[in-house]
Amino acid sequence: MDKEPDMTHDQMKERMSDLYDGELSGDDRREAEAHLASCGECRAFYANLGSLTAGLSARPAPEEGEAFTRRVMARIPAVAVQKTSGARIVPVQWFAPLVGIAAMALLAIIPAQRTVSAEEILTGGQDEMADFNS
Amino acid sequence: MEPKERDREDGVLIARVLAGDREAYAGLVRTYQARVRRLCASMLKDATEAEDAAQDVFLKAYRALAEYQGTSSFYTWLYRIASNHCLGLLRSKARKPAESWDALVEAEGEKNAGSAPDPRRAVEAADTVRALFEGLDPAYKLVLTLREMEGLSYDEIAVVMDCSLDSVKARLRRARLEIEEKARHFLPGKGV
Repeated sequence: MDKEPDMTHDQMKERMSDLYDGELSGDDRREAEAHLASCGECRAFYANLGSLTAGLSARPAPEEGEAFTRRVMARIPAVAVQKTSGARIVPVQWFAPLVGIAAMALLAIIPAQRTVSAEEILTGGQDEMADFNS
Repeated sequence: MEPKERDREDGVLIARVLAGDREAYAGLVRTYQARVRRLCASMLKDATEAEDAAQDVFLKAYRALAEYQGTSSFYTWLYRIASNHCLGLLRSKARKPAESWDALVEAEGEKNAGSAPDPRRAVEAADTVRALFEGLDPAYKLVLTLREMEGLSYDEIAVVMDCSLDSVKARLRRARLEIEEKARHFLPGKGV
């Protein structure tokens, strides 16, 4: 990508985020470092990024994990994960009743029970990322 | 454990789950529960809600496991499910910021007036940063969580958020500018 010849102060200030993460190299890095050396506001901003990182990462560790694992596993019934189109999932214990239901449905034209596809699970039904990907 | 070794081990566990070994999934939960719980706790202020959400994430991942393609690390795939789940919860509730930023900044300013440097200030500053973080837009909370708390690379964040590297950079810039603008009054680099 071509380097912009004359970046404004605001643009350079935004670049401080990239510099902080070590994401700049070559001329971009040198230009940002030169601006940092000459601009008090950006130096203060850059210094505060470190404080923000410290503040955000200062979180208590989650409590012991085995109890959590047990709770998750207790919520997972005897479910067969099947590699089928759309990753339909059918609990093992439902096989026999479902066969019967399916037969009845064919006769009575009962709509099939809707299952959730893997894609819906991944995206939460509606892609929550879509709002800020647009 | 090296990332490639971790991926290989995950792959073995996933294959066992898909072959019908339900208990093998406990191995994946043990490995990633701390990360998922941290992410949920970061996104959702209420601790109980965060724990429930983390459980839900693992259930959703279990149901979708057959569709995991292995093109990215399992944990980035898991993070994507967790991110979408938390964003969905936040947006469905349309929460308002827990704190009034203006009131918070004003209160911090009064505490700082004329005070000498104090080690306790660092702890207080961290608390205030956390409080300001709670008031951010969910999308900004997510990108900051993934970068600052979980230490994901830009590439990994792009996978989790299903966006380009440039978008990751732009969101991090905006998120940092927004929270720093509010926090600068009581951080060490107070500005000019």
